[in-house]
Amino acid sequence: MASLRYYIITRLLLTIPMVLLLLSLIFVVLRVMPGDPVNAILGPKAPEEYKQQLRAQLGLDKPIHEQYIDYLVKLAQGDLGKSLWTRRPIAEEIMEYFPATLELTLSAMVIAVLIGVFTGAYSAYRRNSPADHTLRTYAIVVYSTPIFWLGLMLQLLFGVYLKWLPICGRADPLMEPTRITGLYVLDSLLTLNFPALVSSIRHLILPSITLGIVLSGIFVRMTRANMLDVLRQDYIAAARARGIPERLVVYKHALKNSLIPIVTMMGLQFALLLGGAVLTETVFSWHGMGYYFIMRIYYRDFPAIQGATVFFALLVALVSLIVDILYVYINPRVRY
Amino acid sequence: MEVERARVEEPPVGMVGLLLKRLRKPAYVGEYMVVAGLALLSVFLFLALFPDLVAPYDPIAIGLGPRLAPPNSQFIMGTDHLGRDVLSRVIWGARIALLVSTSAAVLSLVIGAPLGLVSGFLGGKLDRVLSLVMDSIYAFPSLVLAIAIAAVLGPGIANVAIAISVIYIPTYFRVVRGEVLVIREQLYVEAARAIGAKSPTIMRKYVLPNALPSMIVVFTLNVADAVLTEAGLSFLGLGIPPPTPDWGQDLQRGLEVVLSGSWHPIFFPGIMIVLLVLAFCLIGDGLGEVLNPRLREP
Repeated sequence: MASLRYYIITRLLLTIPMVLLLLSLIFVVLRVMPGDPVNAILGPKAPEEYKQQLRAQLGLDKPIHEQYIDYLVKLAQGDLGKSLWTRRPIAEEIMEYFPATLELTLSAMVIAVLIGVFTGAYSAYRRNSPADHTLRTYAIVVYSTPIFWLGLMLQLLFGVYLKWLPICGRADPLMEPTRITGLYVLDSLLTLNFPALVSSIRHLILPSITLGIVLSGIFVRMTRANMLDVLRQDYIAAARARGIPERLVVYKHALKNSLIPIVTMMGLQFALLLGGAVLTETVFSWHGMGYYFIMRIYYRDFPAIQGATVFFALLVALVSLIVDILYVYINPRVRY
Repeated sequence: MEVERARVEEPPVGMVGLLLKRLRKPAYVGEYMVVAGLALLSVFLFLALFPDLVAPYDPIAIGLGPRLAPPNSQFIMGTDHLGRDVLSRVIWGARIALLVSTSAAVLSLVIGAPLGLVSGFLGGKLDRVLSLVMDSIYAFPSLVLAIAIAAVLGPGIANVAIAISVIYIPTYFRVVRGEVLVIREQLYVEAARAIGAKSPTIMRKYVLPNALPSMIVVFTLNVADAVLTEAGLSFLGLGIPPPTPDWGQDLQRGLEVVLSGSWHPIFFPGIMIVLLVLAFCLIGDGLGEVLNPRLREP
């Protein structure tokens, strides 16, 4: 296990240049962006001396490289700075918005894996049957669907026409549970607040289905491909030769082994999931990190955009590290 | 002797010729997919090249009919919130979608592939630095990056294409570099070097042709993804500015009319995106099977 520890440390060290690189890119890119944050805060008609004062106060009057070094020094101390828009510490804001994204992406991932793994395995089991062709078509059509359009159509159908489900927000007004973790469903359970639980779940259904369906296509394809690969292996032939029923061979022997690459897939798809979450959150006014990011781009809130970028990069690095470690535990043949 | 004769009888037709010959009689799923995708794509190409022949109205003319009129005999797909004809806008939208997505993919190919080629071939420090840069971009959520760049560059066709191209450069870099690392060690490259071929010659004559099949597949799938990304950026208001007809931008307006229950200004632009992306996905996935017989399905 010593080599695993060595591997983890190397991986952690490697995330530093990655985060730095993306941060520098975003930093420079933001400074050349047309649109002055001071104008966005005070309005374009504010007197020039007020603008100058605020610019100096925010450190925006210094040359870019000085601003950059200032930012890096603070970042090394764990300080992401303050938002230009709300004047609140950005770390605090991220902690407020992130649980919403976590709740959405986790439930979407569960939906995607449930749909993808079972139908993908069935598709491989009944290869070239009508069911297989239908599922393969499903996978490719779902991949081609713009996530925000699917969200809009689901809103129209279930929200506007059938009036079954709410189409925006995370809970009915005044029904939010007391904040503990920030995951509304979990918080409602912890505080035994059942009206809030019902409200949060009802709000969560459409966004997570939207994101989950779009993601499920990839899982159908991957599971099917992995299953077909595994089903060609000698040990499957051996299992069949021993007279084990085909169903058991497929769902017990083959599926378990083809799940291993799927764990890696979940890690790789995480970046895609985050991108999808940005659009889903915009459609459903779901106040998560994606919504935060987009809003702060509209407001030209530099520190907030930088903070969110650093956060996204760290998150992606962390998830891929966790997935790699998980991989070692579920597949003892792998050693680093 | 047998081998010699076979070579004389079949003149080299090149990959494209070979492909066209095969596709005339599709034999397995992958080839059917390519044919179906090409058929679908040609419809979109026609719409993009000659929208004025097909579209019944001016796509940006306001107040052609009542606002948000449902589909009827005069306006087959109804009208949007400004009384514009949805059908005409949807037809003209094909032009922007194809233009932006293909130019973005071409741009990233032109930048990413040579970088991958040189990086993989020369190795050393340059390779390590470039790989780190590319891996960083690759690992980051691509849509988030495209949003940031598009926000900086501002709306506009060229700017959106540039923003999208940045996120695919690492894909070409990785594909080409991976291919180069394999090919570099082959005996025929060593032979070429032994008879005095220079590095640029080896890259052009031996490495590039071998990397070509996988690049074609990656290119097609990237265009598919670029159509989705362009629509996403325009949906967020960071893409094509109004009044230019664009599917993503029409859907942004759709977000505002959802509550009124008008389905037609939302449904039709979206279904066009689905079909166009589907066309490229079918071609890309199908070509993947055609060019890589290991993936082939009966």
